[in-house]
Amino acid sequence: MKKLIGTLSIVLTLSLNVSAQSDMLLYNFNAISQSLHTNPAMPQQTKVWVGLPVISGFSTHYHNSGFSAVDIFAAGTDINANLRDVTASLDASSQLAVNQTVDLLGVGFRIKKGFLSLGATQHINVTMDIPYQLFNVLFSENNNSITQLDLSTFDLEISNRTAFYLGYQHRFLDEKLTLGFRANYLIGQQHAYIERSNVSLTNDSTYSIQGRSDIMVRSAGASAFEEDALDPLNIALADNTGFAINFGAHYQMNDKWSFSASVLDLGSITYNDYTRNYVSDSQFEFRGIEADLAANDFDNALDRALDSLEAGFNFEEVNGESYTKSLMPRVFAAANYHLSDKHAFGALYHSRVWNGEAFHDFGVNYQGRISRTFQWTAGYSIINGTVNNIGAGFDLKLGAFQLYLMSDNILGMVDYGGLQTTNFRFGINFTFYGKKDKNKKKKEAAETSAPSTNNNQSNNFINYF
Amino acid sequence: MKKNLFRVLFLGLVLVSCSEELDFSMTDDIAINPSGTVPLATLTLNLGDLVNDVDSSIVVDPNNALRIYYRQDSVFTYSASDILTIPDQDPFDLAVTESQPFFRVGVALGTISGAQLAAATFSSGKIGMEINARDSALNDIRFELTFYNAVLNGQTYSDTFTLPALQSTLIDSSVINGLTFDFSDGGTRVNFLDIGIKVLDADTALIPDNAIYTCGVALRDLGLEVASGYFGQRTQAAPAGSFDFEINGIENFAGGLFLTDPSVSLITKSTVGLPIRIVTDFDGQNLEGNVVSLDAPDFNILASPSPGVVQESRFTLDANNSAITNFLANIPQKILYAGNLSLNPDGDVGPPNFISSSSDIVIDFEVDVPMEMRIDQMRLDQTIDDFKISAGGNEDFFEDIKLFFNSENGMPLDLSLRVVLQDSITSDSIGGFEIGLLNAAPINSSGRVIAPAIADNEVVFDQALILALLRSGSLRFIATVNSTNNGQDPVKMYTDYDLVIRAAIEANSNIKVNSL
Repeated sequence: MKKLIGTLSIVLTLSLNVSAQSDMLLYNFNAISQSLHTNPAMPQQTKVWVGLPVISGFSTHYHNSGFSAVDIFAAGTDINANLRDVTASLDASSQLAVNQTVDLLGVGFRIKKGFLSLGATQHINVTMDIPYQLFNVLFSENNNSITQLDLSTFDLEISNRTAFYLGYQHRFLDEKLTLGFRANYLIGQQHAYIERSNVSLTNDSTYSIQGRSDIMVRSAGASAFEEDALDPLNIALADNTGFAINFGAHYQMNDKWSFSASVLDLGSITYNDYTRNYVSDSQFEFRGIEADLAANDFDNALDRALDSLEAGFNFEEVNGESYTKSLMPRVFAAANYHLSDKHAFGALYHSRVWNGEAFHDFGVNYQGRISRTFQWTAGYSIINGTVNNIGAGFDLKLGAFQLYLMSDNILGMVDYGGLQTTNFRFGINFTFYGKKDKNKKKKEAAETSAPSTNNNQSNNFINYF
Repeated sequence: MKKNLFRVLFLGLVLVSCSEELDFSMTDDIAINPSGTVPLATLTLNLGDLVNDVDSSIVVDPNNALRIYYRQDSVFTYSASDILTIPDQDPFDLAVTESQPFFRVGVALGTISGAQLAAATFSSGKIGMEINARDSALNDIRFELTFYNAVLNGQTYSDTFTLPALQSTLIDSSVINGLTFDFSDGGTRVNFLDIGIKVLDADTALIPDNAIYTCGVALRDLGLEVASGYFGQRTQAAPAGSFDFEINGIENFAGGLFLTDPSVSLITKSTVGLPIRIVTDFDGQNLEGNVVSLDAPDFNILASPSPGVVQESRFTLDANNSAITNFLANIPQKILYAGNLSLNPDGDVGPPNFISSSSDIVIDFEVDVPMEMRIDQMRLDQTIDDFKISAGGNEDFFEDIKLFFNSENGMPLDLSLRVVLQDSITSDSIGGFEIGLLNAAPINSSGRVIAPAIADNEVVFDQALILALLRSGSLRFIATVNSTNNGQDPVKMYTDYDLVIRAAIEANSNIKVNSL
């Protein structure tokens, strides 16, 4: 058990300094090539893009759908009443997630009607259900019996992986339709997740507790740190590899409407190196101190009872067993209405699936393409039930250097007390847009005075830029 | 448009700046209040297992019924010396002169309590001889002492003492181990000693004129090998003493145990040809110090019919001839005894008494009682001292506690339990509770249990009782046991009686996190 906690701690420690993203604003903000991370078919404004190592993209994401600090620590309130209220609001969908993504390297360039990108990213994720059952036991006025505890729905996953990607998008149908694809080769450095946590302690009568333990915690990588001579290469390039694909589509229906969708992270990693499972599969009955009065065997009876309780869980460590774990698939779907070449409004749906459970985000946003030098976006999102998410972001192009910064919840960055969801993404790219299409501009000016109803070439922001 | 959007953003930031303040010092006030019902104990007892203890005083009959069997051997032991001793004899003087150098006389052996010996062999002893003369002789003078009614190695016993020349006094002795006397003088007398003393013929001429030798003869340090006759009528006190009398399982209880058919036996084994009457005084003392007398009547130990034959006598005490019912009902933990024995209590009747050095009388004590009983208010009163529970300054750790007890009682016994919380300084009661822990199982007409009885009890520890528990320095447990039908019905105990007691606790806690 101690090793299990140690393993989770190691993996969790490696996941600290994690940054965040719900990507609600990034998706439509194709001023920066990192938008390809959310949809490989997202048309790119740049002709050539080079992500500077490490600093080209750094994002962190925090999400707690259960509570915020002010829910508990609001000055002048009763903290125990607050905790009871928080507890009452928690349920099986309450989730805590912290993610960080770093663009290690990235390159992209246009090839006629296509756009090729390749690079590497580092992903660190911590995702867990908030154990509302424990909150109930600790803080609830009702349903707080420790002997009605059932943690079977508790999930936790921690991972640290590198993705090497190669993506390509191509425009079809007079550039109205763009299809994109990205292949990811994955190396997992550390990973742990709870495959099963069917732990329950229930009173089947006043005088008996039925214990059920069906636990499977799988881990990889953490046990490498137990070795005396630690070889960083063995960890960084561990034989924990996998493959995942992203694909998407973007369709510019007309001057006003465009639609897009993507599916990300369809794939898995097979973990072979430094794997260790923690397994408990037992069922036991606890009846307190069991003693035979005739034998007068009360010596150490309490210790024996506690030992039997511990033995009841029957934890075992199994080393060297390979396992395969799917990534957390994500789906985006968006519709954008373009007031003009410079202003567009969009609606976005995002979903991620974790351990068979889907978590949904909804958002609306504005995209302002003021100029090549400055573009910005703002929006409002409901992220897994949290509603106070007003986001904004911009990119500033200074010559070839492109600085960008955005967050799905800028209020949360200031109002940390009420923060439930926020993210922060920034980076510096080296980008080239190419020459502007002067003819296009002239043509647009003419069409402004005599609008065309049959425009075979999409009049979208890409062409504009 | 752009301007408006910036305004919206600015307004949002202003609103944010008005957000509520956070106070993280409130963590000191966090209290958790988990509750739960947790089993504390499951205790089992099988009577058969209980009596498997090799030291148990409870044994199992072939039909699995239990009985109390206890035997204490050699409670009283009387040796030959306790029964018959021959005291040192007073010296008797015989005067020998030149003119009368030989003297023979019959004297009586001194005995105790009028013992009249017909014969005896002494395993040890001495004959003391003291000779005093008015004048000393120029030569040794030899005196021959003869017991005409005693033989040693088949010869009439005779021994010679020499008064050295020029000496007027002789003090000497002779060992007479194995000397056999016939004190009966041919069946006509008792305690008869036929003694003769003379100056040896060869020395007679050496006796000075007018010399008188006073010869004092005495038997001393006599140890009997065998003896016969009439040993007299006397009473010999037995040394008082005590022995522990513990019956496993109930040794901590006091009073209220009424056995249906109690009996105690005294078994005597005698190799003494002597009728003896034993007078005993058995008192049973229980845990509470209450003493109940057995009130056993006197009983007779039959005389051994012949030397070397063990005569066993058994005397049974029961409800008809003693107070044994109340004696055992007291649940004695210690039995105090005293007694005496009367030799020839009816006088000189019957065959002659006999005894040998190896003869003795041994009295054993035996209890053999079926565990068929009626228990009426049998009590246990025990105190656990130095009881201490610390709440670490968090006296309201638990808002309330309930203790649950469930019993499946296959024994025909009620058990009610009173727990008294006593003040650590004054030992005064500061709280407590009482529960009927066990209900007696129902029985059939022969006293055997026919089904277990279920009892469920609940004790609520409110804040006052919890505080009393924290204050208490000792716990006093007072248990009262009754057999079925409030102690009115006799019940039988069998090995297949089982008992299961379950205990659980339900607690609603209120735990300040910073106190952990």
